[in-house]
Amino acid sequence: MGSNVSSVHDVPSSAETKNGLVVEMESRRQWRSLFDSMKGSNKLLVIDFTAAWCGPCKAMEPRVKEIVSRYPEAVFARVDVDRFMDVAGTYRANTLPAFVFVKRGEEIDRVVGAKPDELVYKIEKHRV
Amino acid sequence: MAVSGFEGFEKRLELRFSTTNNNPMGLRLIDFESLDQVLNEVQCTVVSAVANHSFDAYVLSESSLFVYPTKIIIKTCGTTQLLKSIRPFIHLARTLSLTLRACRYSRGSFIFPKAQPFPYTSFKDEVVIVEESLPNSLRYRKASVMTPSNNNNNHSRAWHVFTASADVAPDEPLVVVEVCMTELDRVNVRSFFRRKGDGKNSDSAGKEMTRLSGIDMINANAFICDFAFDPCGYSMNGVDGDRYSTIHVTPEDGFSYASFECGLSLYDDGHGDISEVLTRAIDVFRPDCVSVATTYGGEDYDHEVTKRVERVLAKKLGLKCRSRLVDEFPGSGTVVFQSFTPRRKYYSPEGGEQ
Repeated sequence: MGSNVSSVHDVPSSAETKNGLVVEMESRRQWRSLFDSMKGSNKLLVIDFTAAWCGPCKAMEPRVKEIVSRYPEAVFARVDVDRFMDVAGTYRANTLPAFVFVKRGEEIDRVVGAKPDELVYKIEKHRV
Repeated sequence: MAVSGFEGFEKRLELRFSTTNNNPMGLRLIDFESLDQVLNEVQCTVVSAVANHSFDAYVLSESSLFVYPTKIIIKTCGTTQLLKSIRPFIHLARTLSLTLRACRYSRGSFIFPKAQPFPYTSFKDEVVIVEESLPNSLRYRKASVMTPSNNNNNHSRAWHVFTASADVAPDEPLVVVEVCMTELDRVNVRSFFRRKGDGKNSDSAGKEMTRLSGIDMINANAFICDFAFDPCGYSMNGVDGDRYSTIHVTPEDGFSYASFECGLSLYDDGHGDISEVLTRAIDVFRPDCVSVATTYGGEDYDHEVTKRVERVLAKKLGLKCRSRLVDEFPGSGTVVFQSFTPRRKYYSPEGGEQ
């Protein structure tokens, strides 16, 4: 752990977050570590729930990328609801895209649907 | 009636496909760039969208688009060129090994027919264009203009339907209800105007309209993806399992219009009886003129349902059915077209009866 060697086999260390980018969750371990590591801080975590079958998610992807790059102080984690059914279940993410805002381990808000203006509005509201 | 204004009445296109491979996603695999290009041809764009396990729902600048694995429903208003989407959709489907097996094109009567571009100036011309775009395999075709014969008011709007199908037996399990409302209640319609300086974006303003108008109570189970236009106007798509619903509102006086459409099953009690759903939807707008076109796409048209809708609308909303027409479309099922106006007006200072 802790090595920064970029190999195609390595899953990125859970503590590492790429600022200004959406981090795709690859494993349960990665998700848990990320979630737990953020409980202790006041940083905003935005969970971006998506799925392979979700056209609107793909429609919104370029906008999400652009929005996320503007808020490097927040952490954006992309969770595929079919790969992480329990996480999706915990947050009742059935209608997508769903952006769930979490601070100190608690959900404080969400945006459901491809609504870039609403997403920006809520990031601005909760980032502090 | 205003001399000119925005055309609320939509053109609706439904395309049904069959698949040779077993991909459960079907049409949902069409990439968004391709969809966007088709919408560009039609002259509209996506303003909001949402999806669940069953389908994708897009709110457009001029109405809605629904993409199921084997079915596309696209509904556009104003002066959009809806029929230009037929060929591109068929082509995109083919690249996914999906073959067109049925097509349905329908609309009411425009408030401003002269403002429409060709071919929408005449249903005959629209039918020619649709037919030219369809493969010969869709052998069973029918065009019909269902015109109420009552002449007691100038509210008589016809319902235009064209269907084409590869099979003569209809197979769509859901019943589709299309409600068109004009002369909306002036007080109710105020919800659909943006308040100046409200500091909201279109999404949150839309959410407020959904709540204030009572639209969220039509189907409490549905997730509503809403959008408010500036300075007025509203659209929403409702998503409830595999059931869609959609509402579009043009609130301006002189050409006010609202549509409600949903797909539902007659036998699924959990989702609410068709008469109850219709009552709640129409009650939001309290229109002076309503038409209801119901398509029974399966084998089981039940005339009792039609009569029950008339009884319930009369009892609960004081709406009298002025005309009822029924027609059969090979491969598409039975269409029932009913027109209603109030037995007496809701806000009548003189207290007169009609």
